[in-house]
Amino acid sequence: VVVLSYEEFPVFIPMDQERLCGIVCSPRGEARDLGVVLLTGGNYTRTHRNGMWVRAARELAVRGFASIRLDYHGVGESTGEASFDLEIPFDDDVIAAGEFLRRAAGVDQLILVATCFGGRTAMAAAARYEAADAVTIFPVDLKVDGDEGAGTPATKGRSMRSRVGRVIRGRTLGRKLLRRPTARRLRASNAAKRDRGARISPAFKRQLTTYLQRSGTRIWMMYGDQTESLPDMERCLDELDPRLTPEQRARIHLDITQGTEMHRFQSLRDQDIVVERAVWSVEQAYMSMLGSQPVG
Amino acid sequence: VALDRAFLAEHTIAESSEGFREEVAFIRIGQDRCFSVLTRPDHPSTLGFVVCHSYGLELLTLRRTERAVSRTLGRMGFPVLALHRRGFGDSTGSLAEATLDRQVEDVWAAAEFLARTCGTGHIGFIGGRFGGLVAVAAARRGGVDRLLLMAPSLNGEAYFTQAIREKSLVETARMDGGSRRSLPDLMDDLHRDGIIDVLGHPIYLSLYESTVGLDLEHDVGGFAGDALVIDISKGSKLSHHVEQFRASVTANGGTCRVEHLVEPPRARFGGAAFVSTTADPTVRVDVLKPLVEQVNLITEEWLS
Repeated sequence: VVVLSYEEFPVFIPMDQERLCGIVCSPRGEARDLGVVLLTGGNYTRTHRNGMWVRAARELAVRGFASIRLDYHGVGESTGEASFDLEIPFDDDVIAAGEFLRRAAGVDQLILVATCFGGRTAMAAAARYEAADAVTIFPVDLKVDGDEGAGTPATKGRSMRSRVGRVIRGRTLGRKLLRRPTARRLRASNAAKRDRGARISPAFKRQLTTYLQRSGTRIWMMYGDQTESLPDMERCLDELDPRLTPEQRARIHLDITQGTEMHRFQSLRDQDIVVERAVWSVEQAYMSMLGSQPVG
Repeated sequence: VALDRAFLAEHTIAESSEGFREEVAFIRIGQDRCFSVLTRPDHPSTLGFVVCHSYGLELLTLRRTERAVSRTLGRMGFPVLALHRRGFGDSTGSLAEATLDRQVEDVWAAAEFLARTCGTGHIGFIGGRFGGLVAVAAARRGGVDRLLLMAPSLNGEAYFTQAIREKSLVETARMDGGSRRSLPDLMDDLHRDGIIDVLGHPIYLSLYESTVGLDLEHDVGGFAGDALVIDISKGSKLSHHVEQFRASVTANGGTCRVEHLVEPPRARFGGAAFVSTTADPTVRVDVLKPLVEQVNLITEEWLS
């Protein structure tokens, strides 16, 4: 029998009437007083693509950190029904998992590590969950329509574009034309024009502000230089509440890795980077909490 | 800080009011520990099922369908064990060593576990897409009473060729015009490096080579039980692969019921379940839900 340096426990976490399925991963020896909640996007179960969060959890355990990875309600092995709206995050799921980990692993402090929809969910949870001392989010969609609601010019325009796009893509000649560099440039330029009308989610900005106003919190935003949504995050940081103090703003760490987009996780190399950055950020958070080393 | 093992042990069961409960555990297979979910009926039948998951992203995206079927079976009194095979999902072990033979071993280990735990004397296998291929490969050994296959891949080479072709197509469609490799180039890479990265999922040469000669349409080995095949596609026509599989099962002395389901708009069996269906791309709903409901109905009827 191979003795591993970590132990894993599959569990059902109570959340009202639902049961969320999760895996607690713990160091076999002494654990540090910082637990990690690993969150995915909506279409992934707790392992994440190609088991990214399984690897991250085991590497964290080797370094002394207990973690929990979970299926949101209505996803994977969890009970319930789900639908996803970026503006309606699953913060209750995160808090239920966080409290479970604190009880099971005996940790007081938590860091939430999340990708995609999980990033929105982590931010919403962190804003109202005192135990969440640190957050790491990988690229997250932040844009909402400038004109909100169905039937507005923005939504009608998008619907028409989508229909025309389907017709073009449905034809061989259309697909050939779309591959031409001129067509690509035109599409990118049109997308940029449309984006100028979009807003950065007010809810996200509000949650981030509330979170930073709490003493001692810190956040790592992990992007690649090729991440499509990097300008949105930069814009979000520019638009944060001006009442935030320089000290509070200094607790945001925008970390940009060269040569990657870190969003679709569609290559093994990108996945390695995500796992490595996730583990690194947890260690940074821990050292920062101990006050043993400056962060940044 | 210390683990509260008793607290963890108290939380491995999800009770339901529908005549079954679900239990999560790690099962030891060889040197490894495999994640499992047991759907345990209050009054278990002697026929139990093992769910064989698919490969790559489908391990995640098909789980909701598999789980819905497991619960339907649980309500009907059939114990069901879903297992992450060695090297997959939450299990330990190396994916590089997960040849088809080893995956089949894991399926049988799960069947033995089910027999020990729930007293099942008869066994059925369930699988969608590549999971269907694993289920049939396991059933070829004989001694299997039931097979439930959802859009199964019945030809190993065709499954991996399609996956690798998809990589090539996605690279073509990317706006950045990234380097597109042709299918033969990618196959050369696989043979040269022993591994190929297909959209963030590795395909190992060891698995490819152990699967490539498999033609389950024409050769069902020792399987002579009762099969239900649910063919799922965009079109209304039944796949000729499924027709051939039915003929092979029947020729072997078994029975095979075939059903065909059309994928709902925007849904692809094995693809992402939560998809934007309105003009607002930030809202996503489960487009596979109607399909899963139909699969459940057919399954229930088959076993009634």
